[in-house]
Amino acid sequence: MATGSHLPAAANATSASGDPKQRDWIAAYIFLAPAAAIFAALIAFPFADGVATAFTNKAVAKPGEFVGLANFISLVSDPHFAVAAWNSLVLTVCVVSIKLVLGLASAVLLSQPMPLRGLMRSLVFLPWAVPGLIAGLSWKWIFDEQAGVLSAILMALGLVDQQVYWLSDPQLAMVSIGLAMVWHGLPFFTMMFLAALTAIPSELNEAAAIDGASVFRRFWSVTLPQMREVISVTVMLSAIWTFNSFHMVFILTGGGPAMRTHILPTLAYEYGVTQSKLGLGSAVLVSVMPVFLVLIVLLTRRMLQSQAR
Amino acid sequence: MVEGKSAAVARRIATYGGLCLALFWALGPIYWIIVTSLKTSREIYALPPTFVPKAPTLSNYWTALESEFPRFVLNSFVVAIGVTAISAIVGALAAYPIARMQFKGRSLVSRAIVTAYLLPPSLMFIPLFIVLQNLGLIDTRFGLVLAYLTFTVPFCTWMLIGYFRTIPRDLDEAAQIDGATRTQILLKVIIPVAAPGVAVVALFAFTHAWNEFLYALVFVYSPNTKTFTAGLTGLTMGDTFIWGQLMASSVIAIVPIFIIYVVAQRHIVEGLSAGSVKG
Repeated sequence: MATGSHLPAAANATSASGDPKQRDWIAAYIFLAPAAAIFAALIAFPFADGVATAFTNKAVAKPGEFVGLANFISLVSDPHFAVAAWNSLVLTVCVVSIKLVLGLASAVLLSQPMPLRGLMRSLVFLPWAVPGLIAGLSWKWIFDEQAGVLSAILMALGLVDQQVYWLSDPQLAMVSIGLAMVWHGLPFFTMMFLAALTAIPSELNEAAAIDGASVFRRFWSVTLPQMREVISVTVMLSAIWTFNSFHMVFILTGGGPAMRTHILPTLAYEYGVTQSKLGLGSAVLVSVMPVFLVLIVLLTRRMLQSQAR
Repeated sequence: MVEGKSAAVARRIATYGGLCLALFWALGPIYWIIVTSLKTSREIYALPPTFVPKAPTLSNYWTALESEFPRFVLNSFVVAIGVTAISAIVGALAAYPIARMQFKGRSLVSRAIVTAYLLPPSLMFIPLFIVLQNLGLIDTRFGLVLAYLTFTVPFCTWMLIGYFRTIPRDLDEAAQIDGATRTQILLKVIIPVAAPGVAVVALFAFTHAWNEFLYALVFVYSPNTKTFTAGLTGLTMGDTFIWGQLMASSVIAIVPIFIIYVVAQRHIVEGLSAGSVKG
């Protein structure tokens, strides 16, 4: 406090211990201390340490030496890195867009009057409750190339005449991975959009209907603008999570065949854990951090604003 | 409704058609897990596959229960309970001042919490591995609990700030006038009123720790520490997948989560949308 020094020391001391506002912020810091300790020791420090590791040749069992930009230089000329970065980008954009469209459609669907609506909603949300690993395993089995049920259904319908190589053809494998990700991630979109949809006052829609606007026109110009905030937060959250769906790729293809279906997190695992080059693995992660930091800063601002409201 | 009769019929057909599709899509893979778990290993590989098991058997479940899998489930349970308790307590302690008190750095603290919540585990697994290794906590359940706290503490704090803000200020102001300390207000006023919110947040923390895969895969590897997610990958090493046993184990591991989900579904959906955005 700038004026504090002009006051007699004694008066200053009593105001420090007697002022409830003053005591309050001491209490606040005490309450925050455990969370702050976790943040400092397990989030901020490892994060900084991880960035530093990317500039070393650290391996799992040995300390690293500073190697400057060597890891990043080797990534620039590494075809696996380029493939993984491209896969990550395409997968995230496609999967999030599909979830957005299908999420809107299924939210509108589940807001219609129907018998047992509560039960129907729970059933459609159910994939969300399945652990990611088990979701991956079940799709691995559905895509199985000897006895997989998806090929069998398509054969029964006469759409294909032999088992489809869902996971061993690199391009098709990315589609299959995307399909499994949509299955697991769609309920989150549906839940968020359904909650937003029910919060829109029905008078708005009714007024537009009286004015003669068609169903689609009403959805486009009345409902959607009301949901803009929810849509943008959901899409950003999901973009972060989809980009990082390590488990789906790890279970379905393990990055193969020939390292052609890696995404960046699985490539970081391949280098950092499987090959024990922690420095190189960290460099893979650090190279995508700028994208995330931008996304996270934007999203943080949004989420703080919407909670303050 | 300003709608003709034929339009109403068309709308109904579209609704039921869409509903059938949505249910088939959502439930098909789950049904397939359950059906596979009840088949004999011969029927599992039958072509074309059978959609209802011809000779349903529980043998896959017995095999799973006689293996090390129950131990992995127990480890998951111990870790998840630890994570839930710590993050609910630490989260409530941190959420209270942010929701109710004036202090320097408050907006910085809430920004740090949201940022930490958004930081994805796949960016953190190598840095955390190094830290846990230096602390000698690799391959311990305690180390895994610490790793999960990096997600659940920010998440619980963030959600609880929202819940605490919905409590009328008059309640704690009245207590304050009666001479209650901040700690007393938190324990005797805020937490009892926000109890449903605290319960939902605890369920989220439990579910996250129960379902998590990447940290479990990297940080724990011996039978005494492995959680079920890490344990299941042990059944998939190489090209041979023991599908019957895998699917039976999956069913066993899903059951606790489905029970939680069914009991608390309405609160979970509300909490989820309230936590990320306020509608």
